[in-house]
Amino acid sequence: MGTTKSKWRGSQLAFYDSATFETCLPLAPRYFFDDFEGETLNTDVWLANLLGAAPPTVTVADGFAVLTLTAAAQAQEADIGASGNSLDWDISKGLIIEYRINIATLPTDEAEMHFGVLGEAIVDQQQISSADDVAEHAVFSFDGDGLCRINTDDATNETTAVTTGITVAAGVFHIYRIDFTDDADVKFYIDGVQVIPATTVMMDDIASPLVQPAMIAQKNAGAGLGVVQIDYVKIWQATR
Amino acid sequence: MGATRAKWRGNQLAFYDGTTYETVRPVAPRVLIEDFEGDTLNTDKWLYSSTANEDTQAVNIGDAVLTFTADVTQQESGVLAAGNSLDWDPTKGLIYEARLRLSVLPTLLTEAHWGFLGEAQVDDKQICSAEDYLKECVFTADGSGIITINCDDNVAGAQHAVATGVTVLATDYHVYKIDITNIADIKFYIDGVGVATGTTFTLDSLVADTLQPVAFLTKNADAGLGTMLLDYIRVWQATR
Repeated sequence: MGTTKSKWRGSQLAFYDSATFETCLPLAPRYFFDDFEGETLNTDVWLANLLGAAPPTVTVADGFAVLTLTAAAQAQEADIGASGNSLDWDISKGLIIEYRINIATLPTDEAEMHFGVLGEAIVDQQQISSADDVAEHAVFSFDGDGLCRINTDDATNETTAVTTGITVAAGVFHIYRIDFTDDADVKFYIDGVQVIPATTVMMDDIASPLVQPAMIAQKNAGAGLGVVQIDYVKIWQATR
Repeated sequence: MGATRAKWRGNQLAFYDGTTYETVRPVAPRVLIEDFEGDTLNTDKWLYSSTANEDTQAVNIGDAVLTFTADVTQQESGVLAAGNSLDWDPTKGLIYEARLRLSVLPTLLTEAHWGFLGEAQVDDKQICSAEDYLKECVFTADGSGIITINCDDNVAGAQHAVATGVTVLATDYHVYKIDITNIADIKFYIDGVGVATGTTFTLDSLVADTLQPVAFLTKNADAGLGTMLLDYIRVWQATR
């Protein structure tokens, strides 16, 4: 078990678990977290977006939110976004978002999985990997396999499928963090280790800095399945 | 008024009220805080248990109110995890804390219990008048304001009705804490003071099991009253 330690990032004090690098408590002016306790998605704050027969599902049980795609060859969405697709979080104000996620079934074929932030609404059949449909986003991505890649776009600057060099195994949780403390040099971490450090990720030309947290499992057409198990989402902002 | 103080238990930082010993904020990876604000139970996370026999539950003025309103046979009134979901792991530095008041002290056959169950809470199951539950770790008030401890992992050596030496009044709230930082030496506290310190409480055989937080009144038959005002339940775990 880990030991509580403190850190100072973006002039904000936060406490973290030294074994897993989970941020336990950021002392930021604005802080939201959902541990997905209980048996239902809290639709006061979240929106489940579903598309497809079978159907794909978004469930909450045993402390996890689970996004499930089925094997049917069809367009599918199993997504969680902010209630009303509300863009409430500001990446120009020291935003940090952290997820603990298990890719319980690695995506196959056409299945894509993304988690991070979107600067727009979640819309059915808009892809990030197989097509460049989403104009504003910063996400960790899995496209048809277990290799984690980074995709970002502020409609001017784009980072496309840059590999993190990390291939996850199904059944293993990892902690993914995106740090917008400097939106002209956005940083990505997996289990406390910075990934793609040689790439300067810029999101500072975005027309509006407002975003929503998004967890997406989708495919436009064709075969492919996948399951994402989300243990928690934490978001905090250094100023309002 | 109390002063904020810090403590270090199981390598985890926590802040507490120096007067009441309420844990104000545990800085642990997994924390559940339920203060029972509002007028209804948050059924995303909690479930009421009840029968149709003059037992009631409500959330009112910051308390969950669990009451046996009349002397009738076979009653249940409780708050438990939604779906009786067993989500908490006693091997991972688990701690339970509740502030509550027995505003009508249990009489006759009424049993009040709060802490953890390692199984579903089921109507007409008792801990004191019968050993119906196999896995529990609870504070108990059995027919009076005398507080005892029941700790059973379904193997020989279970500890039942261990005296704490504390008798509560109907007028007073108390802060009760069960510290499973060490599953082989569980500690119990009332208002920050260790109780039943001469007994070594263990849940060793539950290493593959998980628990749910509960607080409930139960009675199998015959007469008995009781009301519990449950101000808060906090549960935290040192690692995921």
